[in-house]
Formats: sequence, structure tokens, C-alpha cells
Amino acid sequence: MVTTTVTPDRDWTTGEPVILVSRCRSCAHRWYISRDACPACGSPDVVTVPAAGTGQVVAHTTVHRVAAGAVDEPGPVGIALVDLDEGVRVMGRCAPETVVGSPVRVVFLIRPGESDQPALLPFFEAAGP
Amino acid sequence: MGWISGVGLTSFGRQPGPSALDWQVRAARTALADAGLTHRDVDGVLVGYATTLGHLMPANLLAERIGIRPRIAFGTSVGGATGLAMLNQAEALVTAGEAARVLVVAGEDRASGQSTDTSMRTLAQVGHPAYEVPLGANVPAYYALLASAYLHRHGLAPAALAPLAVQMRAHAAAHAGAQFRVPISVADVESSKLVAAPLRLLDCCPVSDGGAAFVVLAEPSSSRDVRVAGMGQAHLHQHVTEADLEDLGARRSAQEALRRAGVTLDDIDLAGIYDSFTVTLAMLLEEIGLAAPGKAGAMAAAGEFDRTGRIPLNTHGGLLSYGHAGVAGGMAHLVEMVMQLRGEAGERQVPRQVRRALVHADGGVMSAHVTVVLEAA
Ligand SMILES: [Zn+2]
Repeated sequence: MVTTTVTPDRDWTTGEPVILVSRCRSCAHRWYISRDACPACGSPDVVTVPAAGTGQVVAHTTVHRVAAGAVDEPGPVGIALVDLDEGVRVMGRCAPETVVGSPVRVVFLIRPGESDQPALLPFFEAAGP
Repeated sequence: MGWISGVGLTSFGRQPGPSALDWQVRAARTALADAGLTHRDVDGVLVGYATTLGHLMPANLLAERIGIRPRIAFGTSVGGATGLAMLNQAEALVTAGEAARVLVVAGEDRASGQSTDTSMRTLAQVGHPAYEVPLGANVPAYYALLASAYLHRHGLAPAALAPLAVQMRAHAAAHAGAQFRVPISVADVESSKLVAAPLRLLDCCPVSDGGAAFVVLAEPSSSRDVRVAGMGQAHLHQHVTEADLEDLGARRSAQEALRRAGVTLDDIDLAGIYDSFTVTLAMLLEEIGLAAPGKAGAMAAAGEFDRTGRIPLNTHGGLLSYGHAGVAGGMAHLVEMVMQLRGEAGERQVPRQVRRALVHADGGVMSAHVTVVLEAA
């Protein structure tokens, strides 16, 4: 269990167990992949908010040969695209039996990373109906 | 407006020995000879990136090797769309009078030259280094995600895509340069090993060694030359996580090309569509409008993409069976359509009169789109 204080400029890619959603205060556009300015209107007035971590599976695959660059290589892994309730799309790990269209919620896998810092990976598990 | 004068396409496959530059030289010399030109006639050189080479200045490298001293030279990188993007630039250069005879080239030893690992590193850039790559996904996985969403949306089983692979193989059987020529069935596709579910090995193109080239002129030099009637592009995202699956860019790109050519899809006689995976081909055909939503596989099964079908498609076998030598792979579709429009495709020649072809390529994960409408002289 990872319990650290969430800071609004760090997410799972930098060691915080959270998915951050960016929101433009100028045009209200929302996005996932971190940027310092809004890709819709160009405004630098961007706030990040922690996502609840719940959403719906849009697409799912099971990779049988994990790519170089993965933080671990546990054999076949499920990968999903998930539309979060906040309205942004996120890629994460999932169980191989994941069903497209089903509700999911995120947990974070802890993997040994480079240097002393463990790496986190978002894992979407079935959330039930 | 520009004219494609000479074309060159080497055989594709696992063909160890030649370097990336060697493949480029072979294709370039073939295209120049086909155009009836020598290297001294060329004043523009555009060369696509090669993952096994990773050179800063690929056009200068090739020009020096052949002995060309062009006015204009540059390398280009927009993934699988690079070849058609270079055609767009060549056309713009000759139209503007910046160059008169532009040589466009690509080639690499992608199958045999990977010991350098440059290739794998370059291809990994298709994924986001922080938000996608650490999860363990690779290029087939990104396309598998597209396939998963596509099949779900249309209520189809994975086997629905298999007839596209079967048709590409049937076409490749008639091309001596193709990497894979032994016919396959839907059952063969379905029993091939899973690469990234729902995509199986025969849903995926191979990697190949080979090269392709063409020469673009401002004015036609003979009745064999094929007119670049219109081109379009669209670049809406880089990473699959940010893709709008309902609007990937293919429709916008194709509509712009058709509008500039002053024609509609009804005027298109045959097509060369990028087919890195079966799902790539299905999604592009459907977004462009050459197939109804969810029906590309069924159309292939019904023979509509055959040489004798309603819209002959990738008559050389496409990336899936002719092979995929990087940028040259996407240029092979263009070379084949030029051969067809000239009536020089031999035993692959579409039996009815063909006047207009649409060629489309995508780079990344449906990230970069370029379309061209070609017209016989
Ligand atoms: Zn904005």
C-alpha cells in the first residue's frame, strides 16, 4: 500500500499513486498527457486535479511479447484504454480477461524501478456493475 | 500539380547483405532509368528516414553516393506516411519552380540490420515515453487496442478482419518481388499465434529489407507519366491515448485530396491503402469511405478488393504480404498504382480500364495521414 501526500504536479509517472487530469481554466478543455499549456486554446492557465480513478474500458489487448522499455516483464500483460469519469482517456494495465465496455477502477502496481525509486503502474480492475 | 515519371521498387524480404543506403541506391537507379534520366538531371533529392541508419542527413548521404549535387535536399520523418508526404513536398517544389526533377527515395535493411537496435529504439518512439511505453505496450499492441475498439463497436469477431490478410496474400502471389507468396486462408490467419489479442501473426505485416523510389516532374515527359491530381494531409495526434477513434484524420486527408483533384470517391478505380495490420486497412478503408462501417472484411471476403473486383486494392500484396521495409513499404503502394495506371502491371494488371487511383498512408498509430489521387495521362 502506497500512502503519500498527493501533490498536484506529480502523478504515477513520477511516483505518486494518482492519475492527474489537466483542465484549462480559460476554455475548460480537459486532457490527460501532461502539458504546460492547453492544447485547445494555448492558455497556460492550467490546473491539475486527481482523478477518481473510475471509468469504462474502451479497448483492450493482451500483449504476448512485452516491449523493451516496460518497467517489468511478467509475461502476457493486459493493456487497456479507459475513459475516466472525468472525461479523459488513459492507458493502463488490466487483467487479460477484461471486457470492453465494462466499468473499472484504478489501483497502482508497485514495481522495482531504476535507482531507488519504485515505479508505479496504473492497473484497472473490474469495478462491478 | 506534378507528374510521377519514373518508379523503382526492389524485391522485399529478408535479404541480408545490402545496407539501408545500398537499398536506396538500387531503388533510385531503377526509378531514374525508368524516367529516362541520369543522376545529373536531378535537382531535388528527398529521402525518408531509415531506422537502421538513423542518419542526420539521409538525402545528402544518398546524393553524394550517387553523385547528385541537388539544389534542394532534405530528409523526412512522418512514420509510414513519409513516402506520400515526400511526394507532397516534391509536387510543391516542382509546382513552385524550386526544382524541376525531384528524386524521392527510401530503403532500409529493417529485417536484417536490427542488430544495431537503432530500429527498435526508433519504433518505440511511437509510444509515449512516460504514459505508454512503461506499461509494456508495443506497436502491435497499440494497433490491437484499435482493433479491440473497432470489433466491439461493430459487434464483430476477430475473424472478421482475416479476409483482408487473405486477399493481400492472393495479390502477392502474382508479384515476384513479394516477401510472402504462398496462399493463406481465413483458418490459417485464425490459427496463427497471438501477437497482441485480437491481432494474430497473419494480421501483422512482416519487417523487410528493400527500397522504393520515384521521380517527380513539373511537366510530363511521356505518356507513361502519371499525374498527381490532388493531395491531402491530416495530423491530429501522435499517441494512441490521444486519438479520436471517430476522426483519425484519414477522412479529412482523403476529402482534401479528392477536392483538389476535382473528383469524388465514385471516380476512383483502384486503391493503394496502408495496411500495417489488417485493422489498419479496415479502419482506413472505412474512414475514407471506400468501405461501409464494419464491412471492410466482408467486402474482402466477397472479392470486392480483388483484381477483378469493384475496387482492386493493393494489387502488389500490400505491407501484409509484399512486405514492410519502412518508408519504402508505404511507397510500394504508390509504385504499384503507377504501374497499374500505365497498364504495365503485367499479370497483376487490373483487367478493366483504370484511370484514377487513390493512395493513402498513415504513420505512427493512425497519427499522420497523407492521401494522393493519381490520374493516368
Ligand atoms: Zn484552453
